[in-house]
Amino acid sequence: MQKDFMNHPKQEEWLPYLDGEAAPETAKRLAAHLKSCPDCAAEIAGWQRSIQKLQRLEWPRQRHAVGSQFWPMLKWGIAAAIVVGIGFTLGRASAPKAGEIKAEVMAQVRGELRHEMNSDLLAALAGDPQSVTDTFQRQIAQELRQVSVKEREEDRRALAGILNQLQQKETTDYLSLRKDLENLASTADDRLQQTRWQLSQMAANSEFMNENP
Amino acid sequence: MFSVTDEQAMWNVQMKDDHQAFARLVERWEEPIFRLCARMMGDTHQAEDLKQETFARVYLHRKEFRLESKFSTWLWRIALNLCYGELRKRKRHGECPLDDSQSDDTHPVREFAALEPSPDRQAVVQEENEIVRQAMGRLPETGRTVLALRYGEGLKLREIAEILEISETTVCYRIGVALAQITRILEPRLTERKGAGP
Repeated sequence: MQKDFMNHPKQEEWLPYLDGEAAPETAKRLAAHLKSCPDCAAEIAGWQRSIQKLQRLEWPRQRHAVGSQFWPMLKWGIAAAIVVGIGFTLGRASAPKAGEIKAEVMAQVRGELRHEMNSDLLAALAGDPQSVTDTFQRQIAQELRQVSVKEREEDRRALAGILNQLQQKETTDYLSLRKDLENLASTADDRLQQTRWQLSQMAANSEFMNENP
Repeated sequence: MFSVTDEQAMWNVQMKDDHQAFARLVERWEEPIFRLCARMMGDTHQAEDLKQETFARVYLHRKEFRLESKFSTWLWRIALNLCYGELRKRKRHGECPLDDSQSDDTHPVREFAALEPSPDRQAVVQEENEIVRQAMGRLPETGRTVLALRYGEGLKLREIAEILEISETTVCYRIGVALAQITRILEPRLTERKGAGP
């Protein structure tokens, strides 16, 4: 008895029992449990009262008999839906395929853009920003021209720098050469004087040897 | 007299766009579908709209009905799915199922009871009905569905299992849970009413 009390049947077992559809063995076991378990007995009695209330519960009938009125209304609704559906389907069917349209438009747009870009680029490079097609591209051409001018200035500046450096180097080389030449001249003069002195000495010695053989 | 089955009528609707056959189906099923929607929504206005929506869908999707299946199962499913959709919308808009803490007169179930009184019924029965309707409104969707199908429409456990696409054991479990819940709501209310009665 105590064992039965502790092992309450599963919740899903009660319904077939209440409907009289439980297997005989199960029905016997559940009936025995109800006798021994006051909690389950109270619970199931409550369920039975609720079932009775639910079965007796009256819901208000519809405000009007719908059968006769509903069909014409539904018929018109369905007719409208069918007309819209047919229109949509025909529209879809008669229209060219989206893929084809897309490809055609893309090719056309690409060609136009390429042509426009080429002419604009040429105009921009020719330094004529006014001949390009639209504002945006004119702006690009203007910027391109500015970049070109800037590049030329930079080149000129760089060239001037190089020339300046070359000039400075030439000046330095000239001064250095001049100094070297002066040094050389000076050295040559000293040596010439020394040679001259040596020659005069040799001449003097030669005269002395002739006078005193 | 030979009576056309639902499936035969539906075959005529599906194959021949037979409006008369469809009208017969509507006539046969509009009341049960209305009742189910009313139980699920607790509101006759919405139930009426959902019933019409159900039959509109049946007609528009008539080609999808498989003739080897049962028409009523398909019909119940359509109606239930529409009810679930409406209940979800209601939840999103912050409307809650009936609760004791809410006592305003605009609540669907209260509105339902107030709009549709049964003048020829005794006051006690009316009051009891209202208590039971309110209790139904407080159950979760799953519980409300199985109780509406089992005790409202008297469907067999096997039929409910088929409609909800669950096992019979699960149906029994859900009904058990729902019965336990509604009993806990109903018993104190009904005891209190008896205590306050003459």
